Amino acid sequence: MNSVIFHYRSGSSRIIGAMLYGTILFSGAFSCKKFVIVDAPVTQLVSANVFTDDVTATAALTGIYSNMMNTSVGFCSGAITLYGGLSADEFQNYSTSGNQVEFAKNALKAENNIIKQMWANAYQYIYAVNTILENLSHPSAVSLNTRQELMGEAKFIRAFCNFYLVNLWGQIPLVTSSAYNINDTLSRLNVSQVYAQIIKDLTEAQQMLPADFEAAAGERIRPNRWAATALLARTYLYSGDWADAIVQSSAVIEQTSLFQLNSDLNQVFLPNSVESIWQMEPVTPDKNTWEGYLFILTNGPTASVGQVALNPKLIDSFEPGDLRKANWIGADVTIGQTSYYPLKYKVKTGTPGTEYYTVLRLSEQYLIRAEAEARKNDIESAVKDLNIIRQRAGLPDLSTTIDNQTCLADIEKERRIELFAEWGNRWLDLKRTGRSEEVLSPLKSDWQGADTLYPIPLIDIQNDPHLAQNPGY
Amino acid sequence: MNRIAALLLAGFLHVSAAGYSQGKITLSLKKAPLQKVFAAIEAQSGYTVWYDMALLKNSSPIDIDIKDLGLEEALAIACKDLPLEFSITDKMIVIKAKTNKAGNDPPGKIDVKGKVMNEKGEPASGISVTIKDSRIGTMTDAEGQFELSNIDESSILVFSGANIETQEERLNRRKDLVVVVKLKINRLDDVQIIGYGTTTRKLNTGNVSTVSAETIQKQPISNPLAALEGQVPGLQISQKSGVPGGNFNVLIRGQNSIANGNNPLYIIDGVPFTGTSISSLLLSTGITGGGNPLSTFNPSDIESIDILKDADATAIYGSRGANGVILITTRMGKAGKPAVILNFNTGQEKVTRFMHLLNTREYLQMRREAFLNDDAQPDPDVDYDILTWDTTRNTDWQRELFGGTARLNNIEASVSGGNNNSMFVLGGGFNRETSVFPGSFADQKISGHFALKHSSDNHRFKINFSGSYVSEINSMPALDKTSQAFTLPPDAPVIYDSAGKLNWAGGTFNNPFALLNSLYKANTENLITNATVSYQILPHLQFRVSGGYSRMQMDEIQTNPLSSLNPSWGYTSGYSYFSDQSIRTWILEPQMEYGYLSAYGHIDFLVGATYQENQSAAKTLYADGFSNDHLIEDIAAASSISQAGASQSTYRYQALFARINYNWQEKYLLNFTGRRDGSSRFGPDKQFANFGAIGAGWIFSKEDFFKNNLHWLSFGKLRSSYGTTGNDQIGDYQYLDSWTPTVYPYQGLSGLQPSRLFNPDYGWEVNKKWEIGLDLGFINDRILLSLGYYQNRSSNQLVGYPLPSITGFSSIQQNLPAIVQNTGWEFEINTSNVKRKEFTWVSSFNLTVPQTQLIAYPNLAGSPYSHTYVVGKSLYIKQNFASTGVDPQTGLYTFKDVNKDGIVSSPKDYLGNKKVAQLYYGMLGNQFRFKNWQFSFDWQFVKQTGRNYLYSNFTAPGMRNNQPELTLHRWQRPGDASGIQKYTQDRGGAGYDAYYDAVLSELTISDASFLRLRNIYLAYGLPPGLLEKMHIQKLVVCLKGQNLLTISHYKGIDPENQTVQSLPPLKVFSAGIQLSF
Repeated sequence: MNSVIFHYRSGSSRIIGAMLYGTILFSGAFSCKKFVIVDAPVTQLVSANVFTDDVTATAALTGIYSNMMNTSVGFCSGAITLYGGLSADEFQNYSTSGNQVEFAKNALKAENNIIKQMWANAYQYIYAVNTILENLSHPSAVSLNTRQELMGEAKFIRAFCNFYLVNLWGQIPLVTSSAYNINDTLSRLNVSQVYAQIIKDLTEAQQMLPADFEAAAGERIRPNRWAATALLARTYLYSGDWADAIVQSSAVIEQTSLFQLNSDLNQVFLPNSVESIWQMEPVTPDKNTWEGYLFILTNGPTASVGQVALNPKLIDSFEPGDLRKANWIGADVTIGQTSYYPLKYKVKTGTPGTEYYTVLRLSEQYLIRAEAEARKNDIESAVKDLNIIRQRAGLPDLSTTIDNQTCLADIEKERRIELFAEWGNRWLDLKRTGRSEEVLSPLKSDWQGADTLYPIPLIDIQNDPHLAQNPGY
Repeated sequence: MNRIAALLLAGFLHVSAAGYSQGKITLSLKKAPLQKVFAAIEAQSGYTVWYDMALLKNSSPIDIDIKDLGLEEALAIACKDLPLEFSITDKMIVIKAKTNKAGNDPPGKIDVKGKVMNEKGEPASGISVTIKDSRIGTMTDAEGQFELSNIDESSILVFSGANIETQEERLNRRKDLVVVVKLKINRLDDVQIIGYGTTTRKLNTGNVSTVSAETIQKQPISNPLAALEGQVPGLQISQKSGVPGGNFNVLIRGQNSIANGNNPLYIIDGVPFTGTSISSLLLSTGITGGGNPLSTFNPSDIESIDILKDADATAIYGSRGANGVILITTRMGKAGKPAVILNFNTGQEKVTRFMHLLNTREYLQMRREAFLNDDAQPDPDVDYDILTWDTTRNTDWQRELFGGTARLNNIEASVSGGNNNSMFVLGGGFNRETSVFPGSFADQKISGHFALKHSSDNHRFKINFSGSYVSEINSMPALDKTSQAFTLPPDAPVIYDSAGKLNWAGGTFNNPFALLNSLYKANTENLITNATVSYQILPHLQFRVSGGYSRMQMDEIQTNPLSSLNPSWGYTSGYSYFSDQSIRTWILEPQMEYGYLSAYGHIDFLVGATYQENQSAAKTLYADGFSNDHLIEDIAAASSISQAGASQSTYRYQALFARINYNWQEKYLLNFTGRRDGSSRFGPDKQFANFGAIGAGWIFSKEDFFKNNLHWLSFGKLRSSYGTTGNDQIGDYQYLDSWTPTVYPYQGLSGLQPSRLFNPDYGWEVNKKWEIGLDLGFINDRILLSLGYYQNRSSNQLVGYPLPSITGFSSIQQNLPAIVQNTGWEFEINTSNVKRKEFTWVSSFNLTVPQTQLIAYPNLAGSPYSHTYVVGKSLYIKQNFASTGVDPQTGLYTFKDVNKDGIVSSPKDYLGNKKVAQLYYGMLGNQFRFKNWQFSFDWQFVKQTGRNYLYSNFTAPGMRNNQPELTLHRWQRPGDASGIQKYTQDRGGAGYDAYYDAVLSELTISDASFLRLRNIYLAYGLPPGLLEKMHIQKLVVCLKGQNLLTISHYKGIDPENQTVQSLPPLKVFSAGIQLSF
């Protein structure tokens, strides 16, 4: 055994060792840079590759619609209808969830999770829009036509989000770029400045968008020039520009080859109905519209998903013989209690696509024009437009000789009935016409003037020191 | 067993055979060769006799006739007329030539060759051999051999090393010698695994705590992390959920990062292991809290767990070491005849306690009083709990929903063995754990482990190969219904109606038992393999490559059959989620080590490189439209399938590292570590950074002054270290500007969405660690004391910096100009109180006093954290409303209006005057051994503040939810002084507002300290006599308990996980048998 002691002094081992050693150092020193550079994962596409062809660039935009429709009761998928309706006088609440009760009682807190989600949804879409606009603003391999169309849609979406933001929250920060290090310190702008931006976006969108539905092969699931026009009409109405409201709504109404009122009320919310100006295609499995899923009652409102039923006062305000009551309202009887629910959408769950989610439709354009005309004291035209809607509902015409005030009251009532449980129209109407105090304070014991504006989410107040809170919160 | 050519045992020449007590020697031989005599003595004593064949060659045969003599006497008689002497140590007898004490000749110079081996006959490499009182010396090579030329023939050689007793050997002109060195048995000499090597407690310049297999095996646990709770100073572990496979919080020396990655780095046999579960959060959050990856690792495969804490120990892990490192080493076979070990355990688990809640009488009283207070009438649509339900019912939902007894069964077998060149271990186990929930849920694991070790005859080439595999099926309810157990009114209806169907009570009862039909099932396969090949190129130069591969694959299903869904929700078929995830890691680490002993001390160089890649992938599918509930686990039976998320990522990591370790006479220790790291988690030009540390130790007890004056001080070491480590625990690709497919297509085309806000410019989080420690041993190390102070400063904080949502996202990855400082005292004492042959008593105590502070934060006021942190205060302060009690007139909670604007509003009126943190924590353990009995118990104590029941889950007392009994002390009429506000049921009323302000107030923070009987262990081993008759080596019967008793004033269910949302940690009691032969 002793004999094996010092056999290690072998020259060849030393050389091998030195070589190995050198190899490590060499590989370490020179290949490391490359080694730690990894390709983008297969589940992600680097930005530079997104805007290189028409199909991918389009996917970047339609991704926004997909997210809008896939968000559970989100900003563009039922939240405005449900919570706007609760804030106003459309729904009765049966939920015991604090977040929902706060809407029903107009006792919102800045930390309300629903508020936080709605707000964040909107700005998420705006971020995507801004990124798309920035990427498409310089020439690329994307064809000119597609660029125009996508940029038009992007501007439309930005205007659309800003429209609801400004109406629900009042002054808002105006985000027009994707630069987070600028956006994180924005402060809120006056409502008029926001409206100016919305009008600018929509006017530009009108120029860029096609006048037909070819972008989606005839389906009405992508906004076109008339969607921009319809929203512009509404924007002018909300901002008190009656003349322009008339111009824009007339432009839509005059497109009779594209848009007409459905004579059958049960067809209004079906896919690509002739009345629809812009609809969204449901994407979530087993769901059609979130409204249908939330509102349709089978076993009483407490056990339902949305935990709301229509306010009996709304039911009472339908005139006798109103076809809309028969077609758009459902009744559920559970343990002897009758509850009414919106039945504009008739599918609660089921394979998506039976119904489309209607965002803009023609009958609102008539109501917009009617109101603008009434505001300009053109009662005759106003009543004429109003009667078009009434006729479709099987109601007798109103007299064209009513006074201005009656006419405006009739329009408010008609809007309440025609547009109930749709995109919070009632809540927005009460606010913009200054009627919320008068209508809601008798109904809601905790009503305060400041309740017309939702609180800015606490998390944003905390994370952007320049954001001021609405009064009362 | 190898017989050695020549054998000497230095330093222990005059050892008595006091340790020898068994049996007596009886011999009667005539003219027997000495070999035969020694063989007979070996046979009867069980001792091994070592001798030099050459020594015996010339001795003549002897006559011997002895009866019932002690070993020492027997040997003395055998050697009486021969030029031999002997010594006895442990189980070994060494026969050698009688020492020549004359030495009159003038000293000459000779060349000496030698071999050093340990008591098992294994070569002892890396032992330093020096000539006493000179600077001449060398080190033994891999075969334990050494050579010294031209030295005095009468020199005294000194043999020393990390894990041997230092011993001296007089040469006496011999040129060839074999030295047997004695392995150290002192706790100070326990081997500690460090990054890329080993050391001992004595010689370590860094701070490493080692938890042995023995400690782990005493505990009835299925996740190794559970075994570490309380054991290690500076290591904070809390169990987040008592559900099998549930998650843990692990922090080493506090929270370093404000918002990201505070997980330590886990390394199993050299292969990095994921610190967070790969489980799909969508499916698992509701039941296992996301799960914990270590639950798919079998605790019995573990040889030791080493926790690396300071810069000296962790800097070699560079960018990944900021939060400490947990090294897990698996079992390896030992030389000897094959040993078979069988283990069987069976036990029970239950929740530690229930919360005191209102019974139906009290509940109804609360509800009625609430209506009275609000001057309101119950509404039949909402208040069915008092109007519709049968108010004579009284159910304790805690007992119904989590009051069951879980069963625990575990069986394991292993075989190990080998010879000096090759060793192996093979083991397998089966583990089954049911739940405390109603229904038959279980977590089942099958595991296998192997390890092989081989070395060439000359020990220059070595290979190690090990692997472990676990296949786990965790089948649990889809949701942890613990929270519902607290809030469900006690008069809620019967669970099943008369037809045996779930009772929904006309939609008014959201029946929690529906969950029994809704399943979460996770199949996990976890493979970890590692191989190390080493070659001794030059006597002191070793080249090594270690490589590892691990793969974890997890398939999860979460089902929601129609029968589990409230009929009122309008579902027409059930739905399921199917998810599969995987992570593969490979790592390759070439290393070169050079050990050199010079006149200036023992120096050790290590250089190496790391290449690592992690590939992970995950996808989740949603399926619905099942024609029948029975098919709900079969995705093929779904009428529609859509994807609900998919991801794939690659992480690559590359590094060069070096370490220089210097040891001068085991007195002065120095350690330098450096690492250059590159990680793919950072953007271009930000991928590389350098990290390093220096550690120094001074074993002052070796100084003459202490040796001569402080005899009671057997060991004293002062050590300190300083260095930097980094943290790259952020998601992959955060720097990348990219788009991800949307979940669902639109217009027939898959949409795209921005993946994130991207920032290409962030770099590593840097943690500067400083530590000073004092290790002392008293009375021959029977008392070992360790005191340490650390200060870690983590800067360049990598965070998902919270942004206002107007930016489109809620955060962006950034480096934050903030500094978080963790300081703390760590104290550990181990005492051997009684050390008799029949009875031993050992105690251990550890205490940690931690503090986490925000030291700097430029422009905090203008940042998103302005309402979270305060510079100079604890990182754990909570900004809340300050309570001013319940108004005796209105009966409502009131709060301090800090800015005096007339209303209390968040966050303007927040004050950060309370914190949720641990003030100190530790454990006191005792171990007793009496004859064949063993008994030990550990008391864990934590002094802390925590969130109480008010923080989550409950609603304002008076509403349609049950409440803790302590809400009975509510305000009732004007003038009442109470800590609990009046009952109210009016959502949106003033009472409601006040209650939700209370949820945002300091009232949610209260004392959550506890004293817990963490572990208890009682074992009886069969006596040797009986074992021999049964032909087995060992048979131990044991009882193990965990979490058996908790003393706490915590207002909630369990002070450890501090939530009413998930199942608290359970108490476990098990009985087991261990058998080896």
